[in-house]
Amino acid sequence: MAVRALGISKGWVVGTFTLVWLAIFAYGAWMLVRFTPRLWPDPGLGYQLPVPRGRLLARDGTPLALSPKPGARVYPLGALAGQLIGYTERFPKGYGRGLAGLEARYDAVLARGEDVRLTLDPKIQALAETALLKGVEAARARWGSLVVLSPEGEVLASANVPRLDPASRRGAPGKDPRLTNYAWRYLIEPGSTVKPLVAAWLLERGLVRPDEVLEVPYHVQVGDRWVRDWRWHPVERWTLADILAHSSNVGMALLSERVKKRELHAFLTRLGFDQRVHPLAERPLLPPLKRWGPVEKANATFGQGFALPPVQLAAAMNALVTGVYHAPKLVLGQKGRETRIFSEASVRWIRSTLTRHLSPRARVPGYALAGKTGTAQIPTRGGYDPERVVALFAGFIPADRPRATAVVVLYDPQVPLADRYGSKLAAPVFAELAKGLLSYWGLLPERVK
Amino acid sequence: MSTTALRWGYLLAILLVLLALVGWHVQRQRQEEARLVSEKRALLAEKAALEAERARRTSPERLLRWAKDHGFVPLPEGGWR
Repeated sequence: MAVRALGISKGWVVGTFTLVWLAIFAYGAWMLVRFTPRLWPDPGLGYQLPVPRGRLLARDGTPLALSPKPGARVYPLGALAGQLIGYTERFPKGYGRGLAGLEARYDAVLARGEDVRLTLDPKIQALAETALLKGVEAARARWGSLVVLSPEGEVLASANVPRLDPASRRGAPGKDPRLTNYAWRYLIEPGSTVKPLVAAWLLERGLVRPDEVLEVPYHVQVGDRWVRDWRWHPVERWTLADILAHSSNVGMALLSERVKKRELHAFLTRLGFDQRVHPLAERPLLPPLKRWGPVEKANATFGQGFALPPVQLAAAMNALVTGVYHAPKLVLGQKGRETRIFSEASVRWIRSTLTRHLSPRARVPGYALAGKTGTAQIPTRGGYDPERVVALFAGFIPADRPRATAVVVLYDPQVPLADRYGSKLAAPVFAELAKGLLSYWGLLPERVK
Repeated sequence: MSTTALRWGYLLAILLVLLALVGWHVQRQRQEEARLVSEKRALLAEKAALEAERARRTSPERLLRWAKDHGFVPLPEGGWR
C-alpha cells in the first residue's frame, strides 16, 4: 500500500482525513446557514431590491418629483406647480405614500416605480406663476390661480398663490393656506366671464342675430328681483357685441327670456358645470333644474348662482377656440371627453368681438388677443357680500388661432373698492402672461409679420 | 480500514472538495452580483441626484430671473417699429 510504502502511519492518514472532512463540513454548514437553499431557482438579487418611487415628469421630460433612492423624494423645481404635484407622507427616515395632488392620484403607479409624464410645460408654468405672483401682490388678494390650457384641453400650466414647495414644512390641512390647490379644488362663481359662452350659444341657436338691436335699460325686474348693470347708464340700443363690450347683466337677462330654463340648464351641463370633469377637481355646484326659477335662469347668463373650480371655467372657455369642449387632461396621451358645443363660425365671431372690445389692461400692443373680464361677488349665507369680490379674466392667446386659453382668478382683493374689478386686477395678469407666452413661442407683432 | 473503504473515502473527499470549490465560486459570483447591484443602485441614485440638480440649475424660474437680470425684455416689448 502507498501509505505504508511512504512510511506514514495509518493514524496520521485517518486524523488528517477527519480534520479535512470536518473543515469542509463546517464550511458547508456555515454556507447553509448564511445562504439558505431555495426550492426554486434564485431569481436574482435585483428582485428583492425595493424600487424607488417613479418620477413625475413635465411634458419636456423635466423631473418635477423624483426619488434618488427608495424612501427619498426630491422636488427639483421647488414650489413650481407645488399644489398640483402634491406631497407624500413624511417620516424621520424618508417619504411614504402620496397624500395630495398628483402624488396621491398616481400613488399606485408611482409606487411600482413607473414614471408619469404630465402635460405641464415648465416654462409656461414659470411664466404663469411669475405673472400671478405679481398680480396677487398688486391686488393684495387672499389667493390667486391661473390655469393655461392648450386647444385640446391639455393643462399647460396650473398656478396657485400662495405657492407650496412640497418639500417644505407643512402646516395642518385647513389651517395652512398653501395646501389648497385653488385652481382645481376651490369653487368660485365665474361672473361675467361666462357671458361669451352664453352669447355663442344664443347665436348658435339663432335666438339672437349679431346685428339685432336691443333696448337695454340700467335695470330690469326678473321675477321678484331686480337685475342691474355694474354702472348706471340710460336706456341704450345695444347689439350682442355691445352687451358683451359693456358686460351688461341686464342685456343678458333680457336675452335669457328667449330660452327655456331647461335648455339653458342643459347647455351648462354640456359644459360640465354639474359634474367633476377630472378626479383631481372639485365637483361644481349647479342647482338642479327643479330649483331654477326665472331669477336663477337670468343669473346664470351672467355667471351667478352656480360655482365651479377655475380649471373647469378654463375648460369651458376653451370650447370657444374650436367649438369643441375638451375635459382637462393632465397626463400626456390621456384621452378625455370631447363634445362639440359651438360651430366654428360662432366661436370666431365671439373671439373677434372680444378682441375688438378687449379690456385696455389686457392688451399687448401689436398683438390681437381676446378675452372677457369678470367680477363676481362672493356668496355669503343668504346673499352676496357687498364688498368682497373675485376678480377674473378669461382669454385667448393669440385671438385668431389661439394656442392657449387662460383663466385668471384673484380672490378677495384688498385694494380700494373702486379698483376691485376683473378689468383692473385680473386683466393685467393676463397681459403679463401673454407677453411671456408670445416671447416663448417667438410670435412677432402683426405689423412686423 | 479496508482498501475499498479508503478508496471511497478519497473519492468522497475529492467530491467534497469539488463541491466546496463550486460553492465557493457561486458565492463569489453572488457577492459580485450584490456588489454590482449595490453599485448600480448608487449610480442610479447619483444619476437621479444629478438629474435633480440639473433641473434645479436650469429651472425656468431661474432662467427667467437670469434673463431679467441681463436686461432681456419680453418680445412684445421689443420696441418694434
